[in-house]
Amino acid sequence: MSGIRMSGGARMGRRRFLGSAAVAMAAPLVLPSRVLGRGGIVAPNDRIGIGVIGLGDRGPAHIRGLLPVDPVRITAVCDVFRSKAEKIKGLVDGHYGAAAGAGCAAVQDYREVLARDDVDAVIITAPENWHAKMSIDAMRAGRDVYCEKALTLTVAEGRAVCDAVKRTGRVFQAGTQQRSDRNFRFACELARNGYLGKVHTAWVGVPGGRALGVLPAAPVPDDLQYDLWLGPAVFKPYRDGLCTYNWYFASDYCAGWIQSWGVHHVDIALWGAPALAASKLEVEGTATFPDEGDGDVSYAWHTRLREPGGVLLDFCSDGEARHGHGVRFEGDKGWVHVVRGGIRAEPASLLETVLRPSDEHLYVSKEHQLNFLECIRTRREPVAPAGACHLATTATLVADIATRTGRPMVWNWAAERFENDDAANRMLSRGYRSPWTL
Amino acid sequence: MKCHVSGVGCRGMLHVAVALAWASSHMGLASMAPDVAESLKALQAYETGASLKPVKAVEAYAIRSMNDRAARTDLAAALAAALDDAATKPDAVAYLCRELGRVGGAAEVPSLARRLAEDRHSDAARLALEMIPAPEAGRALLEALPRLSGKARIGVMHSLAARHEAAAVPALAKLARDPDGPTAEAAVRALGAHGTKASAEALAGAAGPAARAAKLECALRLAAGGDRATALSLAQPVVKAGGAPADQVAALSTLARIDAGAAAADLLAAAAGPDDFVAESAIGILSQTADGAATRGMAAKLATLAPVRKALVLDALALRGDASVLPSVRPLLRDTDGGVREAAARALGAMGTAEDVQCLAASAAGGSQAAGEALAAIRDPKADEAIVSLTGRSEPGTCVVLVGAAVARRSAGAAAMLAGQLGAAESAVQVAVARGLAAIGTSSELKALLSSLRTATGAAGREMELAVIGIGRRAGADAGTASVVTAALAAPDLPAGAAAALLRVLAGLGGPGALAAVRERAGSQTEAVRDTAIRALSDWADADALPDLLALAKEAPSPVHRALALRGALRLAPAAPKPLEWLAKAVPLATDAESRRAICSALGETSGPAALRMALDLAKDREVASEAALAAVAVARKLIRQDAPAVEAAMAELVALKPGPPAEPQAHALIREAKGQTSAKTMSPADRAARVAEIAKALPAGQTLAAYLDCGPESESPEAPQRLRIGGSRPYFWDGAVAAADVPSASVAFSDAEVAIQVTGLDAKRAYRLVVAWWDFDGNGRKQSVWVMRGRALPPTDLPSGREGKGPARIAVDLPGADGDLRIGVRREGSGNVVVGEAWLIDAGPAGAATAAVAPAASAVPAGPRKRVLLATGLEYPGHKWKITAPLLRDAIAADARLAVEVSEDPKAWGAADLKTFDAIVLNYMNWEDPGPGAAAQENLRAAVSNGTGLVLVHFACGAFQGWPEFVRIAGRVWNPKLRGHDPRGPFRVVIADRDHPVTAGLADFETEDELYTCLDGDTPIRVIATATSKVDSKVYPMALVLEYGKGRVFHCVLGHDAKAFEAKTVGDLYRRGTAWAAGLKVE
Repeated sequence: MSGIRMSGGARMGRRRFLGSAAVAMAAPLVLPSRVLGRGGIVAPNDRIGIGVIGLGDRGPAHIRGLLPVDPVRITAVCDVFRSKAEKIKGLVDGHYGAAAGAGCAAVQDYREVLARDDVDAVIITAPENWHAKMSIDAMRAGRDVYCEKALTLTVAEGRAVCDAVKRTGRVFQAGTQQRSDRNFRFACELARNGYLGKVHTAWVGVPGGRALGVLPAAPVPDDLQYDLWLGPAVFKPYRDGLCTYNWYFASDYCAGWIQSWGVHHVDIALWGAPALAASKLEVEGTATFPDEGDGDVSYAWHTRLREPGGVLLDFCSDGEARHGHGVRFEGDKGWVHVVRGGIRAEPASLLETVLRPSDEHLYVSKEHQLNFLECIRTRREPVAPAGACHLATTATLVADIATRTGRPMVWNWAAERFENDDAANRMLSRGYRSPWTL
Repeated sequence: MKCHVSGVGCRGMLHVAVALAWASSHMGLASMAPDVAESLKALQAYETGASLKPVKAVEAYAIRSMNDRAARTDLAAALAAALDDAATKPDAVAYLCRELGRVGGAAEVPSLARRLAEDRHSDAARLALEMIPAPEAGRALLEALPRLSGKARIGVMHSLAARHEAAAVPALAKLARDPDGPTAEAAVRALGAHGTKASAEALAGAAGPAARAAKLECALRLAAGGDRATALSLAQPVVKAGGAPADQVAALSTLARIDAGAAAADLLAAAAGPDDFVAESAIGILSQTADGAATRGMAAKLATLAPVRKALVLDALALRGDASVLPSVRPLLRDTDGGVREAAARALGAMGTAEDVQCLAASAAGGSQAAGEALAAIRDPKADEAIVSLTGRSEPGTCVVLVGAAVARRSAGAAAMLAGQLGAAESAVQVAVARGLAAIGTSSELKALLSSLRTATGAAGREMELAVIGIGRRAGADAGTASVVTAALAAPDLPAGAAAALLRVLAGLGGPGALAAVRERAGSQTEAVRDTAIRALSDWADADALPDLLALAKEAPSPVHRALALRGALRLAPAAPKPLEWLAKAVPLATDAESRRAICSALGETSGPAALRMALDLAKDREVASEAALAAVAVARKLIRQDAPAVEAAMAELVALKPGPPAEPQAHALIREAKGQTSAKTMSPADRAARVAEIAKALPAGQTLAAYLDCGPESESPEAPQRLRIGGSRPYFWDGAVAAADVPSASVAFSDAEVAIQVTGLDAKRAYRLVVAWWDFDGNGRKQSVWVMRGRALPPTDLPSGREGKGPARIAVDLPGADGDLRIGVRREGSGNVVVGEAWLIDAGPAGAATAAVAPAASAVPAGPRKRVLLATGLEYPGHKWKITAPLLRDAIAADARLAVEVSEDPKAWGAADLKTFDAIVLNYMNWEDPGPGAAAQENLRAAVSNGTGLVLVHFACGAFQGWPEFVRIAGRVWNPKLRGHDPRGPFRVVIADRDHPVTAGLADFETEDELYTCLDGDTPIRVIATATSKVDSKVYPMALVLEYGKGRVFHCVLGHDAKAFEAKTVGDLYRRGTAWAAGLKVE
C-alpha cells in the first residue's frame, strides 16, 4: 500500500466546527448555507480542497459546478489520459487566476491525488470497475468521498465499500443525485405515508443500452496509461474507442445502462417502497444482448422483482416499460409518476399534498454537491449514503443476473445471496487482476 | 455421437465422450452440439479486432450449462483441451479461462494450473481456479505458490484467501514473515481476508499497520460466520492498543459491529476522550447502534461533556429516537452554549411531545431558529392543540412564533384561531396573523378580516389586505370574494382609510364585479373617495380596467390622476388582447415626455410588424427617440425569424435616424443577422428533390446517382435497391452555418470516434463510388479518415474550416466490388469529433469501367418568406412513435409550399424558444418523460397562441399538459384519463361534420385505420368539424375541432396514432389545411 497515507488525523483536526453554534443537524433538517461561508470571507484553513479523479463526462461537469463555490478549491485533477488532465488543469487554473498560486496538480495516477496534503475530499468519476478500489483507498487515506453511480461493479464490492465507510467514519455521497430533487423526495413521501393507499407496484423505466461494433485493435495512445485505466479488470489488449464512453457497454467495466442508469430510478423506487429491500425478492427477467461486437451488456430488458406477497418492482428499459421513462409508485388509491423535471399524479390533487408533522419526512437536500460539502463540515450522513446506493446497485445487478441466467430466482437481502443457485451466486463477485486488491 | 444441448437421451454416450475427451481435443468438441463446437474452434483463433460472435456463443452456452451437469462437463473438457492446444491464440486465453471458471471441475484444473506461471495469463487462470468449487483447484493454487514470484504469487495468495483454503494458512503465515515487504504485506492481508480461526491464530503475533487492518478484517469475517468469541478476542486488543485517530476509529467501529453491547463501554469512553475526531466518530457510531444501554449511557454522559460533543450526542439521541432520554435533553434547551441549545431544540423536534411546546415557543421567541423548526416538526398530534390554544395566551413574541408553527403544521382550527387574534394589540402579532391567513385562510375568515381592516393601519393593514387577496385567489373567481368585499365597501360610516384598503383589495382581486364597484367610486363627488378609487384602478390586476383607465387618463380633472391612470394602462396594455390598439389610444394622451417614454417601453413588450411600425414612428420624436429605438429593436428581435427582410428594412430605417447607443449597435447587429437568416433546419421534400436532381445532373455520362442521404436529419436513404444507412451517430444542427453554405451542410451527423455508413444492395457487377461531404464549420481542428471494411481508404485529412471562410469539401471513395453490404467508417483523427454532412452513392457503370471525378457545383437552397411552422415533437407516450409520425406530419404539411416547416425534437429548446415568431405550432408531443418543458414553457406557449400564433394539436397532444388548467381553454378539449381512452385501433369512418369551415370545405367523408379517441373532455366553446362513431358504445365523438384562443387559431385533431393512420390521404389534407388555417392563410 505504498503511496497511500493511512491516517489523516492531524489534517482532520483543521476543519472542526466553526464556533460552538455550528454544525451537526439531525437528518431531516437542512443546514443553512451560512455555515458554508458562502458570500462571506472564508479564512484559508476553512477551505475544502477537492481532488477530481476521472475527467470524462462527469468530472468536468462537477468541476464547473464547484469552481464558483467559495470554500472549495479544486487542488488536483487526475485522468489516465494525460492530455485530459492537463486540459482541465488549464480550466481550473484559469478560473482561480493569480489566487491559485502554483495551480492545481494534474496527474495520471489517483494514488498521487491521495498522497497530497491539500486534498480533503475526492470526487470519483472513473468507470464502475474502479469505484470500489478508489473509494476504499480514499477513505482509508482519510478522505471523504463523492463517488458517481453505480456504487460498484459487483455486489461483493458494494458490501466492501459499505464496510469501509463504517470502519473509517468518512463521509460518503453516492452520485444518485435525484435524492436532492424535491419531486423525487415528494413522490417517495407520498408513497411511504399512505397517500397512494397501499403501494403495490413501483414501475421503473430507464434508457435502453447500446451495442458496440467490433472495436479494432490499436496501439495504446501515447498519453494513456492503459494499465491504470484497466485497474482491477482482467487484461485484454487495447482497442480503439474503448476508453471513452464505450466502456459503459462492456461488462468488464460496467454492467450497462441496466446498472448505471437503472440505479438512479431503482434508488428512488427503494426509497419510496423500502419493503422491496426488507427481506427477499422473487426475480425473473429477459433481455436482448448484442450478437456481435465488444458490447456484451443488454440494450433492452424487462425484469420483475417482487417482495414475496408484496410490492412488485417492474424494471425495464424504456422501450419495454409500460409507463415509459421514470418512476411510478402505484397504490390502490392513486399513483405518482416522477422524472427529472416533472411530476404527475392521479388524482392530480395529490400534488398539492402538505405532509402532516406525524408523517415520515425524508431527508431534505436542496442540491447534491452542496449536501456533500455540508456533510464534510458537519460529519453527518449525506442524503445518498453508501448503504442506500448499495441496495439500489444490488437490485440492478440482481435484475441483470436474472436476465443472463434466464431462470426465476430468489434473492435474499440479509444473506446477500441467491437462494439455491450457486451459478448465479458466482456472478456476485469477480476477482481482481494482480496486484490490485481491496 | 450427436447430442442436443440439453443432453436429452444421450447420457450414456456423453459419459463415454467425457472419458475420451482427454484423449483428443477433437473428440471433446465432437461430443457437443456442432454449432457450439464450431464456435469454440473459432474462439481458439480469436484475435483482438476480429468478430466476437464465437466468444458470445460460447459464453451463452456456458451460462446455460452451469446448472446442467452433463452439458457442463462436456463443455469444460472441450475448453480445457482448447486451453492446452498450442495453436490457440493468446487473445483467446482470457475468454477460455473465464468460461472454465463457470463450468470447470476437477478435471480441468491441471490445464489451468499450467498457465499460472505465464505472466500474461496468470490472472485469468487463477481467477478461474478461484471459482471452481472442487478441492483440486485449491490444492493446485497452493502447490503453485512456491514456484511463483512477484505479481503472480501475490495474486495466488489472494485467491487462496478468497477460497478460505484451510491448508493455505501455514504457507501464508510463512510468507507473512517474508523479507520482501510487498509479499509479506500481501500475505498478511490474505490471512485477514481468509477470515478463519486458523488465520486468526496466524495473525495474532503479527504487528504493523497491515496486520492491524488484517486482524480487524478477519474479526469481521469471523463474526459474520458466527464465531463471535474469536472475533472479539482478535478485535479487542486492537481497540486497547489505541494508535492514531483513524486506527482507533476503525477498531471501535469493527468492535461495534461484532458486538454492540461489548463495544458500548469503549465507545462511551472514547466519546469523552481526548481526541475530537475519535470522540465524534464514536458518537456517530453510537448513534447508529440500536442498543438501549448505549443510548442511556450517552444520555447519562451528557452533563459532563464539552459543548461541541454535547451537541453531537444530542443529535445522536435524536437519531435513536428513544424518548426515554427526554428528561436529560429538556434542561439543555436552556444551556449556556448556543450550539447546545440548538441541538437540544432539534432533538425535541424529533422526540418531543405537546409538553415541550411552551419551552420551544419561548426559545423560538428568544431567537432560536431550531426551536421554531422544532415546533413545526413535533410529531405528537396533541401538539397542534397545544400550539393553537397557547397562541391566545402568550406574549407577543411567543405568539408570533406559535402562529408560524400553526400555519406550517396546518393545524386543525388554526385559521379560526388566527381570525380570533386579528385584534391583538401588538402590530407584529397582527402582521404574523395576517400572513398566516394569507396562507391558510378561507372564506370563513373573511368577515373577521374585513372587520379588522376597518381600523387597521400600517404594515398590519397591508398584510390584512394581502390576506383577503390571498383568500380570494385561492377560492377562485366563482367564490364571490369580490362581492363580499364590495358589500363591505358599501357599509355606512366606513372610515376613509378602510375604504382605501378595500379598494386596494378589489384591485388585487380583479374581475368584473370588483371593477364595477370601483368604477362607481371613481366617479364620486367626494375627493378622497375618487382619489382612492382611481389609485386602485391604476393598480388593477387584469386588463378589464383598460377602458376605464384610458378614459381617466383623458378626462380626469387632476393631472396626477391622469398620469396614474395612464401609467396603469400602459402596464396592462402589452398583455391585453390587441395591445397596439390600446397603445395607439394612449399615444395622444401622453402629453409629457415621461409618459411617451412609458409608451415606448410598453411597446417594446409587444410584437408584430404593426408594433415595429409604431416604434419606428415614435423614434422620430427627438424626446423619446432613445426609448422608442430600444422598443423597435426589442420588437424587431422577436420578428426576425418570421420576416427577416422586413426587419432588415426596419432596422435600416432606424439606423438612419441615428438614435445612438444602446439601440443603434443592436440594430446593426440585427441587420447582419437578418441578412444571414433562413428558417429551415431540414430540407423539405421539394428542396431535397432539388438537391438530388442537382447532384445527379452534374454527374458525367454513364454515371447515375443511386442513393442520397442527408446525414443527421436522415438515418436511412429512401431509394432502392441501393441504400445508405448511417449509424453510431447523433444529429446536430449548426446555427449560422446555413448562411455560409446550405441546409444539408449545416445539419450533420456526429460522433465521438466514428460515424458508420452502411451501404446495402450492391451488385458485384457494377462499380460504385461513395461521396461524403464534410466540413469543420466551427474550426475545431477536425481531421478525419475514411475506412472501408478493415482497410483505410483515405488517410487522415483536414476538414475545411468555416472559421477561415471555407465551405464543405467532398471526398470520393471508390468502393471495392462487392455483393450486398459494405461498411464505411469515417473516423476522427484530430480534435473535436467526427462529422458528416451528406453522403451519396454513385453507380459508375459496369465494374472495370473507368470513372471520372465527381464535381457537382454547389448551390444554395432557395429560401423565401413563407409562413413559419414549428413542428414541436421529441417526447411521446412510448406507444406513439414520434420519430415516425413527425416526418409524416412534416411532409403532409410542407406539401403546401407556403409553409416552411421547422422540426424541433428538443422540448427544452422549443419550450424556451420565442414561439411568438412562428405563425403556427404543430404539437406532436405529450410530456411523457424528462425533460418536460415546464411551467415557463407553458406560459410561453399560451402567450404565443393568445398573441396570434396558430396551434395545431396532434393525437395525444390533447394530453400534453396535464395539471395545467388553462390548457383546456387553449386546446378546446383535453384528455381526461378518467374517461375510456379510445376504441381499439382499427378501421372506422370519419364524417365531415361541418362542410362550411375553411379547413373541411370540399373534403369528403373517408375511411381510416386509427385509434378512435373517446377521452376528450372540457366545456370550452368549440366548433366540431369532423366526427366518428365509436364501435364500442355507438356514441359520436369529435375527430377534429377548431376554436380561437385570444388572437390565435387552434386546430385540434385526434387522428394520427401511427404510420398507418397517415395512409388515408385526407388525414394529411386535414393537417395541412388545419395548419395553413391556423397560420392565417387561406386554405387551398
